[in-house]
Amino acid sequence: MAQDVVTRPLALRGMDRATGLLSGAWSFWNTIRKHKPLGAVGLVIVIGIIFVAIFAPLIAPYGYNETIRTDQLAPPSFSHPFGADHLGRDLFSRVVYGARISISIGFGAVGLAMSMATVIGLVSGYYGGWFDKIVQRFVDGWMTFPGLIVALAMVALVGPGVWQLIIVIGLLFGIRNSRVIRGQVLAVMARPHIEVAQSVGVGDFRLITRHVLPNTLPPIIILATIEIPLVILIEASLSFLGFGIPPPYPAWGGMLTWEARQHMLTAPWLAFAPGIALSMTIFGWNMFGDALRDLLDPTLRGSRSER
Amino acid sequence: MVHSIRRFGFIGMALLMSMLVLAVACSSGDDDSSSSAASSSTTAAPTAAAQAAPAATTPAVMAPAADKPVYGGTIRFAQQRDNRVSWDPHGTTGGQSLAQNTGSWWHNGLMSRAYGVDADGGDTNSYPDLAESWDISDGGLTYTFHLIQGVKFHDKAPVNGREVTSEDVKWSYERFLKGPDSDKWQLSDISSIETPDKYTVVMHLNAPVASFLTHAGEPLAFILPKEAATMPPKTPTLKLAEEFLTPDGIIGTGPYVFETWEKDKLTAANRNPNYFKKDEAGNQLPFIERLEYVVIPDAAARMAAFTSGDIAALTPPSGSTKEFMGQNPNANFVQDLPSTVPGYNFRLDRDIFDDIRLRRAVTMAIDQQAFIDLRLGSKSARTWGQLPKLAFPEYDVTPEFLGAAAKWWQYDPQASRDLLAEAGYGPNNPLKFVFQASSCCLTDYYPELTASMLAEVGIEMEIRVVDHSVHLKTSNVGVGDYDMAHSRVKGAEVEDLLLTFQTGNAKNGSHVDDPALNAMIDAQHVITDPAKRFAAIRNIQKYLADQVYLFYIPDRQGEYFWQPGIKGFRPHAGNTEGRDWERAWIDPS
Amino acid sequence: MAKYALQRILLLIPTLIVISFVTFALIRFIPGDAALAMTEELGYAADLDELRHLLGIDRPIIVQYLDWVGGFIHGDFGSSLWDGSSAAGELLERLPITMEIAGLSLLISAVIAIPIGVFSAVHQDTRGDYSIRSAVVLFDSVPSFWVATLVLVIPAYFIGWVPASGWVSFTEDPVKHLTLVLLPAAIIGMGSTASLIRLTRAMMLEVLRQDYIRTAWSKGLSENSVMYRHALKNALIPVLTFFGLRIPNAFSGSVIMEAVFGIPGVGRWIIDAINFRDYPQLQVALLFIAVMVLVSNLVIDLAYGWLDPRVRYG
Repeated sequence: MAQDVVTRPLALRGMDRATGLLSGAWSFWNTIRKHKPLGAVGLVIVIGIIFVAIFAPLIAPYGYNETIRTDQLAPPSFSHPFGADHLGRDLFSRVVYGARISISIGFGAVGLAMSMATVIGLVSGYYGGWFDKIVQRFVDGWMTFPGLIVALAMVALVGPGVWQLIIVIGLLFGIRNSRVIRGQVLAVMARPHIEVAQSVGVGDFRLITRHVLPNTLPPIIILATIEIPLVILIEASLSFLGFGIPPPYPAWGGMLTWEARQHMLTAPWLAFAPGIALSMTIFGWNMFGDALRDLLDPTLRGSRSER
Repeated sequence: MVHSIRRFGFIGMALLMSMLVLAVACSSGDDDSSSSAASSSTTAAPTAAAQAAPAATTPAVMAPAADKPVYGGTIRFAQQRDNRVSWDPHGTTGGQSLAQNTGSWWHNGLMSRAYGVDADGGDTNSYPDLAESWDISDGGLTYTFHLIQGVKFHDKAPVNGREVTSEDVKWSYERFLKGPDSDKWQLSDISSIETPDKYTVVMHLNAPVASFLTHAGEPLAFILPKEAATMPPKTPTLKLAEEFLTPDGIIGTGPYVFETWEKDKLTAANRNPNYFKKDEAGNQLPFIERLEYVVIPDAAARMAAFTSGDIAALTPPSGSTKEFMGQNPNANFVQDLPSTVPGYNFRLDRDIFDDIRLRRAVTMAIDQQAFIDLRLGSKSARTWGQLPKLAFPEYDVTPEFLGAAAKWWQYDPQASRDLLAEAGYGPNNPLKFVFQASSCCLTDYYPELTASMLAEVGIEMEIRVVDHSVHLKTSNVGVGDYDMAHSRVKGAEVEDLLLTFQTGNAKNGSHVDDPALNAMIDAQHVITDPAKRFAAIRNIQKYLADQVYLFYIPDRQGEYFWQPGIKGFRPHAGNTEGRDWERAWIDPS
Repeated sequence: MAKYALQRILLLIPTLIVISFVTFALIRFIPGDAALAMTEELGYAADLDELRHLLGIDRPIIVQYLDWVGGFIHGDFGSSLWDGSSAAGELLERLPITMEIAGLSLLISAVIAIPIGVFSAVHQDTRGDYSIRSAVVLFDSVPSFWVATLVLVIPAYFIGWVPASGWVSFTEDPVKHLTLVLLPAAIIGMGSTASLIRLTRAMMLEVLRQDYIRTAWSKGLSENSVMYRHALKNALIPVLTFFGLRIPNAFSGSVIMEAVFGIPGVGRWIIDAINFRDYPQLQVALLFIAVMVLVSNLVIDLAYGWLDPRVRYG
């Protein structure tokens, strides 16, 4: 339609955006399927797990703490696809609800981390100066501590729980990631059109939001997809050690503690299902993250941080 | 293409994140808490007074009398965590610890619990240890103990193997009573101690306390040499006498001499060649040459260590007994040891459970049979209020005896819901409270199970898990941010369980403040006629059942497994592992 | 070389200061609940004031910090709140154990990963290469504590075998000691193996494309000579950096393995410190670990500088 875009009704503009999104998503899917088949597999797994997490109450046949005394240590069967634990709780339901915990902490912590990293990286990279120098030294120091151990120490102070974990892990990664964002900000700042804009007198805020920020998005997204599996792994490790999500919430890591081995000679399946779910989730994210990184920016190799 | 990815990525991420924040908000709405149980997984035989019913499936436990004991060998035990503070046997705070459990290896008391292969597992009478006989006079106000002559302390500086005298006994008891031991109230009726001669100790009591002899035989106040510690244990911090921080300071009269303590690795002791006891055939005890404790924090690993023959004895975690028996068909075991008493304490000093209706609603919502079902392979029995039968079978009650109070102990979810409604709670206003549990043993107290049963009547129980030591320090004395917690009371004497309800008692974790109850407990404390005392305690039982200050969960009867090659051994109630093991020997065949 | 070394050492100083701040802050900012737990529940002190005095946090911050740092000169790193034992002493006893397992894990992963990586590079894009790369990603995704659980459960269930337990030092019983450390080291090493295979492969591929390799080929040198003497040697330089980067991982992995296998190392000690709210102990552990990481990174940097002259002048 040869109508002025500005006067097009809001609803129709919204629909335009939606169809634009959908077609973008479709072309993305085609690209990834053709060029990075493993990544496509990863994406399918990731979407599957997210789906399971969101619709957990509809998918799980039992509650996650629904004890059925007659089904104690029941082996895998039709009514209990993954078996049942020592309290007769259906393992399949628990694993399904566990997806919620992993995904919410994964996204929550990474969301927090990215926000922090963006703010710190932007300010540090854009304004530079002594603020930058001090902050970067702090980041250096922070990065020498092994991640899991810092997380342990912080959980020791604030206690276990979903929100506590999101904040602790988010903080942990946020400070590290600020380094990468800062690097990208510096790279963008070095581009000629920024200098031109500055000399013309474009304000800082406008410059940041219109020019710098959109260009730092690709590394943010890539970093996010790379780090979600790391966050999930750290949360699982913390829960395994007893410092993560407390019972009876079915955190996958927490389901693999010594209680999974208490009956290992009569009910070994207790140790299988949560671990398989965990590994698959991490695998899916790793694959998808790798593929995304290769597609968006092949030069960004080897930036996977420690676990 | 990059543009569309960027756009998709940005908006898609935002959408996803908002969806997930919603998901998180929804999921944190369904609250359910469980706490974990605290019970030491060391190999100490549990204490409580009860005559256990003979176990139908106990295999041959008694060693044939004809076998001749063989000297030598090493026995190893596994513990979940190492001793944290010191080995001072007079200063064990916070409940069971390795120091408390192993004290009988290197120390003796005036008396001990039963020992020997013929004595019953539940025998809680006091038997001679360092005191060979005793007299009671003045209507129960004076106890005179006659010490065995010629007992020597370990040959270590500065004691150098000198003889035990009554001065040591007096000093030890006085030190114990000054210290921070959480059980010292059991001996608090002692008003003075005299030593008329080298081998006689006279104790005067404030009142003719019926339980004194039982308590004195629970060897809390081990006899230490005067030189072993220069000062009494300090309070309130945990920094106890410096001397007991290393093995050199642990000097006693016991069958084993402490040799090594490598923290978190190994604790080792060697046979005391001058031990004062002999067995019936005249052989000097002990037989086994060396004793070792290793730290294996993981319960499954401990079970495996027993199966592979690495360690000598073990009590499997609750729920694993059936499996454990299957893995170790030749092992010796007993299932008739009195259980220590596990329960859920209500905090009466906090808003929620000072309302009796809510306490009753909770107990009616819990089906005790569920706990019994979970203890696979173990013996278990339900409780009717107070003084559970697995600990004190003679005080077992029937619902008829309890009368109206019995209904609080029946599983009746509808009655529970009605009572909740009466107190103002319902589906629109669910009762929410915090349950504190120890990280160490979820499989003894099954808080998740309780949470699930309470959820069925609309009560939301949040489980807060804390470390074992933190839990013991809090739940025993009743401080901390929780409304209900699990606890375990050791009771050699019935009174030990009753006293936890008395105002001001150190173990009154529920903060019960009931003048009528206090009066009843004080009264039975000094009744010497057994029949009258029994009746008085029965009345207290009825009262406690109605007040619902505490909920005893069905425990399993104490179990103990030991390797087939070990002869002459049988475990008993009480912290007197040493007395049992000093008679044991390893069959080399 | 000396100038390069000096430069890198000097750069450490600000980082060290930051590390000391971070660990120092740990005790300064104990939230109310934890402080209450320490007084009421663990009985460290009669009340909050006494606890503050005990921990020394009732003095001005600068005084506290200087006092704490000053203690290092005397070798006083603080003592455990539980039994007053020297935190540093306990740590030094446990450190060799953890380092042994960490070192062994890196060795195991190197022994497995480097040949596979080389193979994968040499046979690039063949079926073997693809299957290796897929397997690598799979192994990368499996958490170490789950592997440990499976290693314990599966043999126990199918053949009734369980690994030994307890702890003996190497001097007491070398054979038993090795069997005790091998399994946890292998499981930790597995985590590094995947990344190392990928790295070796990538580095080999890059090096193989270099001119000097083609020169070597055209000179008619044998495949062995080209591969192992020229290519591999240069490809391995970044592998050094990799090892340096994995040292923090080795500590993290060790925390988990020590918990499962009951090994008395630094990881378990940290967990105990957290469980018992023994903050001075935790402080020392964190400080030591961070310093270890810094020092090992320094060593790697220096080694790198020595091996590859381009770095020194770049």
